[in-house]
Amino acid sequence: MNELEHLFNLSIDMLAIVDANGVFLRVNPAWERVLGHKVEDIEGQPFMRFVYEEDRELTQATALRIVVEKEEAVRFQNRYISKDGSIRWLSWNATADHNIGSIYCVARDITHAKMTEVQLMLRNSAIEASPFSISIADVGLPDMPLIYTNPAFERMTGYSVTEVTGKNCRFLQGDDREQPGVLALRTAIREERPITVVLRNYRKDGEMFYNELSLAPIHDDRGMLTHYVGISNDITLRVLADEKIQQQNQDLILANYNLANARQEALEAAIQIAQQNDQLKLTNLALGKARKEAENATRLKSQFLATMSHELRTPLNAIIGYTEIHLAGMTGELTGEQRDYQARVLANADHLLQLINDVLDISKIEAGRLEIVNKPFNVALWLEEVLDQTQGLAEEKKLGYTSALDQRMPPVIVGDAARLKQVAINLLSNAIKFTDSGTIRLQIRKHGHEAWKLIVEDTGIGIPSHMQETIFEEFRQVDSSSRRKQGGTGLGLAIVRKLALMMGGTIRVQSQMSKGSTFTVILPLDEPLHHYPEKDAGER
Amino acid sequence: MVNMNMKTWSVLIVDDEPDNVGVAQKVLTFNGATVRVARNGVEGLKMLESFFPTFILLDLSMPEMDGWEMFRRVRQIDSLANTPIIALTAHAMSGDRERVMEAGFDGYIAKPFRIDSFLEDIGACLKAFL
Repeated sequence: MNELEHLFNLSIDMLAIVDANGVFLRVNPAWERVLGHKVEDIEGQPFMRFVYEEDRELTQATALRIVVEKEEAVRFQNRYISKDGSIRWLSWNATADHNIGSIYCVARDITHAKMTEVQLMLRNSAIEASPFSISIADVGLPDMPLIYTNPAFERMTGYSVTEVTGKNCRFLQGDDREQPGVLALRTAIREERPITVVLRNYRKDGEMFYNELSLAPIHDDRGMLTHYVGISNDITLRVLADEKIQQQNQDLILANYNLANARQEALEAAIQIAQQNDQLKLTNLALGKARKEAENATRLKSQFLATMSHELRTPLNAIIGYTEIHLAGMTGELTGEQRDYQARVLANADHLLQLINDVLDISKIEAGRLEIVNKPFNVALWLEEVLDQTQGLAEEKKLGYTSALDQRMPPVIVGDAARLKQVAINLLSNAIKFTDSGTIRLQIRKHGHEAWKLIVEDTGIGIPSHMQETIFEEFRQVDSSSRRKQGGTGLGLAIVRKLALMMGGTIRVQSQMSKGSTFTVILPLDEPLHHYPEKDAGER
Repeated sequence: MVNMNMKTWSVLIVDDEPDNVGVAQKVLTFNGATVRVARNGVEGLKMLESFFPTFILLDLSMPEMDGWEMFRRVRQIDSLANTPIIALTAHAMSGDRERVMEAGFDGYIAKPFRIDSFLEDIGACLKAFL
């Protein structure tokens, strides 16, 4: 073997000599290693037989360039089919010796590199085609700039690859640096670990978007960090939808809370109302009961008064009646002593009757059972009746008795004639009782435009100044000895004052010891609006 | 003493209280009147079947039948329609007289009474009635 023969057999690259017809004249053992065919199975065969079908046309054209157009050292690539059917990429260097019509070829199996290249191209295409934004930052360069961004990045941010290459990706945050996502991102980068964060980023046109960024470190075969790859997605719509849902949820929660509150309040209000209702019902019941009790008490009281009146008068009728029968001599003539004693029984019975009347009056006033009944009455007739009932008493004590009716008084006034008479007679009886000599004067006077006065004047024993207020209290007299001497119940003035007050009037007394007393009752003057027939006057 | 001829009077006193009857009866009989006494309305009505009084003195509060009821029944008897009926009662509080007169009684005398005014009131009542 010559030297060339050695080299031919040792060559790693595939060596071949092809004749003008495209038939392998000679191949070296490298063919067998690459394609699996034995050398003797290749030699003598047309090379086109081993060329991958799709590459045959290209290969034919190239062969023509070499043979016909006589190009020298033509480089090309094509695919061959190996014995097992797999495809091998081959890179060719070929030249022709036109004198003898042979082609000398060197082929190298570049299948591995070719496959890697295809793979890389595919990956690149995939990255370019990715709907997610993909970017790569170089850790080895100062400030870790972006060195690659895919079209999706541009769609998302508005920035083209040329605009961003060489810049740190933080420009996407604008001035909005203090975000929790940014801080987390910085920490992850410092610690060289992958992270997914959501950032508020800003498009080239300034519009904010939510960027869900997943960042991962890339290490070289020695484990050194070289790059970061970032995959981003604009999740603004999702975030806004989430926020909306969250807001709606919060609104719902709030609405529910408010609703629950309102319901609670309504419930409490209802309970309160119910309680108040119950309370009101109870109060009403209690009030009704109290009113009934009060009414009952008043009814019982007046019933009691009526019964007392009746029951006290009945035995008095017998006492007074039988005594009078004796005094009238219906049972025969009495001795002087008998007559005297019977007269005393009668006087005491009279006193007792007066006492009963007064006590019942006071009781009625205090029980609220005494009513003032105002009707029109003739003043002159009324005065006459009063005089009729009191003149006798004055005559008995040989006292002077005068009366005067103010001419300015209207002839008919409105009032309770019976109660007024009771007041007048009471005052007059008192005056007569406490006067031993002199005159009793009764006057009716107009007092201003809206009042009139009933004045009873006497020339009696008088009332000491310190007693002038207390004489209007029940069971008060100037002194107890005078009561015994003068009789009287001690209730008269109390009744007079109560009646005067009930009729809207007042009473006052002026008195000097041993000179006499003047009682003045001032009453509202009420004239009737219509003319009343005479028969009403002075009657009850 | 009132100057009246009472000898022609025949009086029915209806009262359950013997002492009250006693006083009125004594005063009237002393002056010559004829007096019959009943202790309640039932007795009074029975008595009126055979006794035609000049007037009736009628107490109001009585057992069996009170004065109000007897008054109502007497007024329904034609032969007694014109017989004066005078209430003689210890119901002498304000309003009692009015109630009695409104019911249609011909007179009202409150107990206790004084003999003079008792006879005067009866006289006035009879005079007004005739």
